[in-house]
Amino acid sequence: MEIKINHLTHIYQPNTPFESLALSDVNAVIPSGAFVSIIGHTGSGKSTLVQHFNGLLKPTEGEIHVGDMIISSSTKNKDLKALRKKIGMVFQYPEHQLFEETVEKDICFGPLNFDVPLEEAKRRAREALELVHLPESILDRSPFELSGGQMRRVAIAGVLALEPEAIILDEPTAGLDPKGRRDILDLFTRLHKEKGMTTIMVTHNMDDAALLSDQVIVMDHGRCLMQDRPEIVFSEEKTLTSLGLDLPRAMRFLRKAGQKLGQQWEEPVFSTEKAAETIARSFVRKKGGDRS
Amino acid sequence: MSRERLIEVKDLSFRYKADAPLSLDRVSLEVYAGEWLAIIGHNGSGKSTLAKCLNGLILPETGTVLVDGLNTRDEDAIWEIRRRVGMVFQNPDNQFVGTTVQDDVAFGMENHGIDRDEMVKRMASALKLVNMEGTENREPHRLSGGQKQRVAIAGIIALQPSIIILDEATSMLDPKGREDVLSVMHELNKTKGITVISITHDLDEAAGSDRIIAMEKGRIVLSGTPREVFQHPERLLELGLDLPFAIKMRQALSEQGIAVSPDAFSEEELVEELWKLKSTI
Repeated sequence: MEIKINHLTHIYQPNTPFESLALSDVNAVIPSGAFVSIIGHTGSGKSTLVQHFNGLLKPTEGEIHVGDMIISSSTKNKDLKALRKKIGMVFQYPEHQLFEETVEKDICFGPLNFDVPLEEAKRRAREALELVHLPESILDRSPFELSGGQMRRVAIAGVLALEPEAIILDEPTAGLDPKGRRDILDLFTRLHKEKGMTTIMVTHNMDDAALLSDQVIVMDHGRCLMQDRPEIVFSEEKTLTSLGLDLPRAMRFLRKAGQKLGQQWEEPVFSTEKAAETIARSFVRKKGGDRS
Repeated sequence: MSRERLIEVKDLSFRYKADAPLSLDRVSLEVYAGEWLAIIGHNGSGKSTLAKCLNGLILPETGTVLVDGLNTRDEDAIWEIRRRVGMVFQNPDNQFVGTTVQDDVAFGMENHGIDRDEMVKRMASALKLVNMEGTENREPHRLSGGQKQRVAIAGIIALQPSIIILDEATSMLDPKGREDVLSVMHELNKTKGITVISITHDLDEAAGSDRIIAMEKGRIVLSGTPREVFQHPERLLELGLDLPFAIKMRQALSEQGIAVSPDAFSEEELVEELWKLKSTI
């Protein structure tokens, strides 16, 4: 499902002494089925922006087109319910929102709220658990007895059980151990590839943004500074540095190595494998030269 | 080399409920004055439980924990132990108790009955050490996560501790906040000789420590200098952990047939190795 952002401006607490401009004339497009990462310094407007996508916030000015729905300042709150069903939101630390006695009840809570019949909700709970790679046997357990990584996956299953067409992830791996991190990222990569899920991820991790996304949106002071393929965005080193954002690790290493070895390695390279290939090529060329 | 032992943990076992499995299983450990010790391990491996034993927040089922010779079981010593072993937790919002920065820093000192003139002096120097001078009257909601953690550290420093435990204290921060907190801690470690125990999932952070301990199922399964511990990349992955970037880079280079020495351990050393290799071609 395509999401189109047209001249979006958001002012918190307008006409009060606390008025603050959080988003200013943002224009961007999230193509249907794409994996889009949103990067930017803390306070740049990333979270405010994504909260518009499922109607948690309404624009002060401008519009959001989500599929065939249009959200503007005049959209009625009751019309937003349909939107929340289409777009799932995984907040930071979603496990803090678990509250039911059993995993099954917790996952069914969302669907039941959207008037899905109980049997269907239970079927969806099983399916969602399978998607997040948890065994059916935990359905009867209390979510609070699970490990941190498992709790997070249950919370995500609760969002998936709504069968959304797009999903918003606000720093989905924050606070997880390395294995939990890999599991969660694998899960969303799989959902995106296999189910064509439109995925929007807010992240501070440049490596994740570079490696996983089709498109990267760069936010700064409530504005959208860039939207493009990661290869293009991460070629703009000066702009990113001026915003306090880093290059992906592999690129930083290549620059460091290049300086010492007298090479201009400035191409966008995101994985250690690709960085090693770049370095290996320069070694081979030299060797070949010696032999001829 | 003989070093001053600050903490001695001997055969420590602990479980949360009588019928629960052991969260700590006969752990023995020594922490030396002035070192930076990283404790790694996946969620539920016993890291935080161990940390809570070190300042008597929880007491051993069996075994002993001695801090500067004081036993955590000794009720008369417990306040002194907690003064010496400060702890910074994960969530910046759950440990800010004051309504302003100075109230927050004063909280611990008030509990320890430090007199006002001394408090004022210590407050100023503690805030300076964490680069938060001039924020005395700020309210918590006006601070970033990294700033809140630094205020928490100031509150601890004001008690003149010998050890600060960071229990995943940077995991909820953005990259800038994380860097600020870690650089303040490294400064305190170097210039004030404060011993740091850092529980972390960030293997790059652990790579910068003096010593690493890896935990699994309540036991210490690996220990040594970062250089020693990262000699066993497969073992770390088995433990559900990750490798520091430089080690991954080294592996990728050798897969490309570039024979980097397995001793190269940091990015700088890798670059140095590449340069040497290149000049021999």
